[in-house]
Amino acid sequence: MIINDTDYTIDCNTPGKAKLLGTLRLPSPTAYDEPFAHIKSGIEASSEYTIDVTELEFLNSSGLTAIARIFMHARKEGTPLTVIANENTPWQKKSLVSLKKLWDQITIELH
Amino acid sequence: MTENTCFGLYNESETVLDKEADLSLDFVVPLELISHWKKCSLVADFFANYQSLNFEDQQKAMSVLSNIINELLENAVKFTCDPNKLVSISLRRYQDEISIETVNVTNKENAKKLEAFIEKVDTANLEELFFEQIEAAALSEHDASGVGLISIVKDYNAKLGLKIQEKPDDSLFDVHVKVSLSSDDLEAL
Repeated sequence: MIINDTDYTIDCNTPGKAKLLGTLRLPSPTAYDEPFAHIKSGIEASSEYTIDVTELEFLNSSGLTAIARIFMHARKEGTPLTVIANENTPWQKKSLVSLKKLWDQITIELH
Repeated sequence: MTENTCFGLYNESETVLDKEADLSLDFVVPLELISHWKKCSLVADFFANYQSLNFEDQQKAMSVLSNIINELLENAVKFTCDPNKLVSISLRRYQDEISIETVNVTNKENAKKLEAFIEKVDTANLEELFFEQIEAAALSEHDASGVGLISIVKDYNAKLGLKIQEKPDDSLFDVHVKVSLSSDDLEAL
């Protein structure tokens, strides 16, 4: 399943993996429910899950909250998460890395 | 709440506010038209690109500034009580400091909430407050969590200012929110 918007792409075609690209600045955390639905179901169906955000240029604070919801969903499901982030993208290095504290089974790899 | 409230940067005697804006814009975002929401991002990217020309690492400057400006604009748009009222943004550069200011019109309830929130940001441990707010927002349907403003101060070492001025006629308030950060801090990220 690939969601292609003019501003972003969410690619969940590979089982156990999602790749987010572009700019995600939706108006509220709940506005992310639909585009992130396949990530949630992927977490439910996998023993471990990877989210690649290296090509996600921008994410607003509503999106960061939505990502926190995904992390908490993984915690609830007991599915360890690996997030592949870009060390040259300041918000990923700062804000995203802070969310690691939500669960000790979240690994954030800075590439 | 008093008629006029000043907090943080607005209490400093000499600030970049004394300088005329390098770039400013007034615009309207009617929230009922979801496609107009993108205006925040468009304006943020334009202002950030414009200012990034002053930096050696333009891509990094663009990324940081666009994030900060977008968060300020999203807040200003969300808390504007009348969707037809203008939201203003201005950008100033003064020596090695960059300042971004938004102005929006709001009602007493929103002004009070913002004032209480900014006071909390001033005194709390920001890492803890960030978690508290993001966990609360993630567990509820609320989106006005202030996570964006906390991130700006926490992650980019930015300074925050708030000024609330009661308007004379209609019991509404002008809300000025200002963020300033040093070019050196930005380059060091």
